[in-house]
Amino acid sequence: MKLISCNIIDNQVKINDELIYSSKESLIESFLKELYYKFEIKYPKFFKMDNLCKIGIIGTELIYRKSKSILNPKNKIGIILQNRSSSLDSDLKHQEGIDNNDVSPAVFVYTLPNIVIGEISIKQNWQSEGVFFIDNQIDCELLSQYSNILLKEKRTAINLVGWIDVLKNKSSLKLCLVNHQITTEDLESLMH
Amino acid sequence: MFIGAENIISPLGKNAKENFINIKNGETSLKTKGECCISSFLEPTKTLLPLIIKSISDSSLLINEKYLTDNKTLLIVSTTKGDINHIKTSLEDALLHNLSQKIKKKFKFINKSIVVSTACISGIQSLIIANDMINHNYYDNVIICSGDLASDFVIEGFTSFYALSDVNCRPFDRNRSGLNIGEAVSTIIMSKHQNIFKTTPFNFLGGCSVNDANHISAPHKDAKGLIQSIKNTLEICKIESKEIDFINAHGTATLYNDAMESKAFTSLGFDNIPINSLKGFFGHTLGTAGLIETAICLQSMRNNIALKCKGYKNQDSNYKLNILTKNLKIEFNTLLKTSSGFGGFNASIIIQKI
Repeated sequence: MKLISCNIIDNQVKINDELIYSSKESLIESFLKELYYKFEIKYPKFFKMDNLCKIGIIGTELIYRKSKSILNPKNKIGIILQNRSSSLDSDLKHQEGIDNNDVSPAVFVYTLPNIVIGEISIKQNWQSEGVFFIDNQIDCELLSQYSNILLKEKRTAINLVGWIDVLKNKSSLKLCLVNHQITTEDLESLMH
Repeated sequence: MFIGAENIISPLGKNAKENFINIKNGETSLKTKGECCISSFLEPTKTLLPLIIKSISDSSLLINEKYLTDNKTLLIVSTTKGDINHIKTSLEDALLHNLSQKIKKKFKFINKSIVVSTACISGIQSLIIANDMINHNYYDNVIICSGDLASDFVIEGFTSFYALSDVNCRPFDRNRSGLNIGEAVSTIIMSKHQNIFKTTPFNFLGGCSVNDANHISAPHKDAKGLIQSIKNTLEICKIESKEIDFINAHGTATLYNDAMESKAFTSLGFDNIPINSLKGFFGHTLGTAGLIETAICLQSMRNNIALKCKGYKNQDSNYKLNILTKNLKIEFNTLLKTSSGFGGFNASIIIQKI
């Protein structure tokens, strides 16, 4: 199978390195909303989510549309993600709530980085292994090692692997689907 | 894989043994402060770093460091919020990878450090990843450390969820009324070399995580994810349920979490297996919970004592489970430890005596 990848960086959306959309929106909220309508995501829960989950839902949905046949929930689909800022984007909002005596459970629930895995799992109905790593930059060695382990042990049949980072107005998403053993270099070239 | 050299620094004790003895004697570090009941260090602490460094140092006294050679030692830092108290002063210092890099610098024998952050299953998932990494020959030794503080950040959040109890929590009790936040750090070491451990280690047989794809903050009412995780773990470890001597559950003492776990254990036919939750002793320590509780379980196995579930008195009439109301002397060979958390995450592991 040809590996499917999706990048959303610097307001550009690419599938397998091919530019499919470029936006002029400078605010992340408007940019993500624009993508939601442009790609007809049709998932009202989207609007309750924080920006980390929103960009994760869009990226995964674009990958799903390119690989529906293999992304049957009956195949065990693992999710191995990483980022730099953890959930700091929502953490800052929760802290602001504390400072202003206006704490909201709807904000607090997003103060964990793995919630994006939860949201993707619910949207796609994937019920398998999920793990969230944090590092300064994408660690293709670690991500490929863990993907290889899950596949080799048949704990998963296919893995969504990558990087989803959001902090204030800056975001980057690099995702790909992997269903066989890959080297660090393989993953680096998919994630460049 | 071999597992041991457990350390705990909590308000209940400065090492694993002291924590275990205090728990065995029925003590708790939970105290009502203002509107909530929490377990916190006597000396208020704003940063995790020195505590984690102390915990790893103390743990490494329980191994022969000279075996940590060949550039094959990994550090896994497992936490939900790390040093979140820095959020108001320096975002850089609140970043989790900065915490792990600072820890790594303190120990020459650590070749690489990674951070795992998957809510309340972080500790258990870190053990699973450590085992996987060694099994697949990526590393020979893994130091797993975990820490979370009872910060205002977390307490305010859980208060907004109405999830906190203002009295000592009562896991699995019919009248349970919510959880208590706790703070602690813990370290456990895993290795392919048995001789690295100064005292007899245990066999970590395996484990796995399963997402229930149901709700980001509510447990699945049919316990689908936890049941699947336990089933997979039994299969991976080639263990039959009748071989399990004891289950250390997550048991946060919230209405829905404990009902979900009870449902899972009941439907898997675990009615007679002794079960506890340790939250009544040192509260819910979030990302550290899985590690600190596994460390206590290793102590329990060393002493062949199944510890009671502090706070539990009255059976929840919907579930007939063997929740321990007093400590029990048992032949403790095989442990099942489970964990569940926000994001629909469930995980389980099995540890056995050698």
